[in-house]
Amino acid sequence: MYSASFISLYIIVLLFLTLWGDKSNITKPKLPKNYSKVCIIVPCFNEEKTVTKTVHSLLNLDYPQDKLEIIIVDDGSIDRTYERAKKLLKYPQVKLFRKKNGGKWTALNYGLAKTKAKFVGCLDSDSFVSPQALKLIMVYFMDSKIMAVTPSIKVYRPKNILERVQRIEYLSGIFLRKSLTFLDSLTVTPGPFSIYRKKVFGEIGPFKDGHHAEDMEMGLRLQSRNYRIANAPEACVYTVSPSSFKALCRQRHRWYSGFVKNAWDYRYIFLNKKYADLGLFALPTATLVIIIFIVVALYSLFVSIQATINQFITWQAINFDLTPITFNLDWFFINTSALLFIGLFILIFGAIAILYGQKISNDRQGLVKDFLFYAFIYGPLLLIWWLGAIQRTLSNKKYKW
Amino acid sequence: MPTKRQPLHTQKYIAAFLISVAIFIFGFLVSDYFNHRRFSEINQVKQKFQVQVLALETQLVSFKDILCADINEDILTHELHLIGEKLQFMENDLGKNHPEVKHLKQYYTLLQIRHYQSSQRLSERCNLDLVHILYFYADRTTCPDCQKQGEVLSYLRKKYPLLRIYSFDYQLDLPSLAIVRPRNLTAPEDDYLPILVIENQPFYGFKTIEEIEKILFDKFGIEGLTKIR
Repeated sequence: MYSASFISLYIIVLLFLTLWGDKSNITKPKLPKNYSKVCIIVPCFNEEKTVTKTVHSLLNLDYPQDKLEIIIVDDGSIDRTYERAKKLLKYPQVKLFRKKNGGKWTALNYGLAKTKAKFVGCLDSDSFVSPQALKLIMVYFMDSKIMAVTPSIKVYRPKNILERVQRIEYLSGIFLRKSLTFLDSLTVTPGPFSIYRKKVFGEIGPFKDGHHAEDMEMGLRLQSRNYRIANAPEACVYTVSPSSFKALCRQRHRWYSGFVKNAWDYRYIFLNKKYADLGLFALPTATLVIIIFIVVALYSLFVSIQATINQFITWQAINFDLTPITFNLDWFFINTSALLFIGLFILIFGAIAILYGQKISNDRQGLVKDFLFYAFIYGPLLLIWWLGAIQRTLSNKKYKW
Repeated sequence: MPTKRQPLHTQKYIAAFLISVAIFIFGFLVSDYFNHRRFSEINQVKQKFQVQVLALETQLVSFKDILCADINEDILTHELHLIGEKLQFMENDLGKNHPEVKHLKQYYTLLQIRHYQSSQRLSERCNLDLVHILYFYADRTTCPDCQKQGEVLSYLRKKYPLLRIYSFDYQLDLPSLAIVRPRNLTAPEDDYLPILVIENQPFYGFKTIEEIEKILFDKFGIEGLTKIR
């Protein structure tokens, strides 16, 4: 437990030092005067409910409309996605294509082949962009070394507990992504609104299936070839998060299984001096954290079950007559172990990371309630997701998108 | 075009390591401070209790007609129980082999023996109808039923105010324990534990609430037990 706490503390302290240790990391970039043409590909598969709203959010972008191209690629939907998308053709920026179902990556490559824009992006058809997002992203391309820029992703209108837990997770992700950028260690260019220089696809090739995690595969491929990925935390994208337990598990199994398989495919980066922070810190640490988390969570689960059984047996001995039991509120009986104080530091750092995510993404919703849900539910959920992902990775089960 | 990677941020890794070590040390120091305060508190209660036991013993020895109404034996019992609870917490937190815990446990055992002896004499002198139970337990490996037995006794102690229960660690290295420990046990101790000695009669193995109540009712009658002082 002490080793696990130390490693967790070390990682979070390092991420904070990375983000705030260098003042140049927190200066706000200035908007460019001239904007280049950008093509946003919207791959769809059975997204009749959200495709219109997704495209409208793109049409509402505060970006010169003559420099914006929107390519909708219907990947063989069997619902009314195509009919809905057809109605959007009245806008000159929008182009619509239909192809046989082949997976998201094939839809992206189809769109790539249809554009001549200098910059290409992707927006999942269950996500919506904030009006300033593209401008804020394009700022980072003023640096010619930057080949891809990722946005901040937030949960769209979280309602139930699962969505609220994901809201906090995504907010902490904003902090994590920004810190990793300064270590040149971003390994995912997420489906919702990552923008690339188009020429990069000519140099490293188009999207690949990437074990159903094409965004991670692309991120790792860019890193493996030493192409720089930046992050624009102020550029917000909203995504519809899974609201049911089953859908959420399915999504996470796909993501985590994708992480394991892609990490294996790019295993030569691990502990490779050539990849500096990415090879010597980010990837090995991410793997180590996952292993530690699974071991500690399983051990805690085992201890909790054992304690519950013991308590049950003990209470059974007094016929569950708990009336004489009194609780002592004396400070003496409060846990003051070293682990508790160290855990408190980790919790405070975690809370600051979430607050950072909230502030930078201009999120004005209350945090406390969602944070409490997150604190109690996220750990068990993460264990369920990882065990499911490992089982699926070992069984080599195929996913649909 | 591929670019040259930033060099490894060695300084940041070292700084993060040093800060983490500092936080770890801080955590241990704060924890140690609270543990120190806990031991001081136990010692204070222990000293206060020691004075009270001595006062009680002096009264019992010195006077033929002591004023029974003036003796707050139940307060003394409550304080003894409080020390026991606090010691138990420290034992769970720091482990039974922690030198301070070990020392305090030996001391607490001696206090219990003295309280037991005084309480017995007081009960005779003042006709208090107190019922004394000695409970011998061991760790979970040696005595899997001891946790259950402890819970049963705590329950009974709260239900019947005249019960005086004294818990002794059977494995504690303390020669004075022999004064109260049942003698002539031939089989290994885990065959006997937990052991209850109810008014000098030993009972071996786990006893349920109903079994203990039957023993108590047979010996002292229901009126004697439920009477409130």
